[in-house]
Amino acid sequence: MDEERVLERMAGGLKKANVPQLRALGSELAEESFLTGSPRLVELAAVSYSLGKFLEKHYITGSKRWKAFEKQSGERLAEAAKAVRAGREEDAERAIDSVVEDITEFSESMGRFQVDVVTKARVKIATDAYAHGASLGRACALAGVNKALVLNYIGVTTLSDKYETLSVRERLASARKVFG
Amino acid sequence: MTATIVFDSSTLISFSESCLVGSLPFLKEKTGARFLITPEVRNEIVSRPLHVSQHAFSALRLRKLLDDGVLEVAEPPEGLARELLSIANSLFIIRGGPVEILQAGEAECVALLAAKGAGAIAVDEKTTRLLLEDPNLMLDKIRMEFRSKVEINGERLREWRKTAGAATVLRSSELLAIAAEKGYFKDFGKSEGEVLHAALFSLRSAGCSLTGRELGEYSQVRI
Repeated sequence: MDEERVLERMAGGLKKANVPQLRALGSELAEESFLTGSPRLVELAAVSYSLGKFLEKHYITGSKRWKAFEKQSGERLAEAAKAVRAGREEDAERAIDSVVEDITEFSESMGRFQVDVVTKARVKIATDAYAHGASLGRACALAGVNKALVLNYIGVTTLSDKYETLSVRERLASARKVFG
Repeated sequence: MTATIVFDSSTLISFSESCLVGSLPFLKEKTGARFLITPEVRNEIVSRPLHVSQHAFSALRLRKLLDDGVLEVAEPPEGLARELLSIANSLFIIRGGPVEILQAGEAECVALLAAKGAGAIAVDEKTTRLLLEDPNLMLDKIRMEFRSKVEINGERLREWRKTAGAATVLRSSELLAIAAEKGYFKDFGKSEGEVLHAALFSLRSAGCSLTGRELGEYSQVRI
């Protein structure tokens, strides 16, 4: 995946307040991170999802702090893109980590929820990986998130409806046999 | 013969998050079954979440099961767990390369299941269950998600089946249903059936891989 292009798309999506673009990018990155196991792609997916989430909330984008946060995030994403282009991997990593830290801090100070937006993004990434074939353990290890959070999220979707094998009657018969 | 069941963390988390942890000591007392977990599962359900405020209560409830001997920790053969993990993570070839689908904890559970000749594995998450019950269905679902070339490595699949062995897979839903049959909800009197169905819905909301259709089928089960 062309990380420079990804960062540019992300910065563009933030500038234009393009929530669908940021969400779609987050989903692409989540899928790619599952295929490659790349921690960096997970971080980028988390950033994209998180920025999209902020843009959905009028109380956040209408706040006094938003403009400064948006400007700083845009600058850090541009810095990361520049570092990737120049092959400066450590600088790119640092810039991306800074964006994640800024998002977490901003979310904690602005948000109305106990779980910060980056953690919610990680739950989404883990769920995407789970839907694409990863086990719960693999998905959570990839996204860096607790199993209970992901299970609770999966539980309120219809994701499980795709994986039916045996009937309840067969399962109960097997269970009774196990217990004797 | 005493039933031995290996528990994955997903099932235990589902029980804890639904406040149905009490069904496990009940089931153990009624059946004399042994409930085994691996050291990694213990880390996942107790050691790690204990330090996270949001999950500490759940961790403490599950720790009590260990303290009370309802759950026993058993070490899987290390070589076997590694072998199963390697096989599982080279089963599916997506866009030309193998994809890691399983994590060490889950592989350890399957290894313990195979090594102990256990009666069943209790797992609520879907990948481990599908790998044991129907890997070709897993392949179909992955193909639908990726909409690109996905293949299954036939040789690795044969190795998986041979190494993992045949297994009965139970979910928290089946365990709860058996507990209900043995009287877990008897204090609710005539509402036993209604309570079971409501509890199964809670398990599903907590992440048990239970479909809407199955919930409907369970509503027909008479205790």
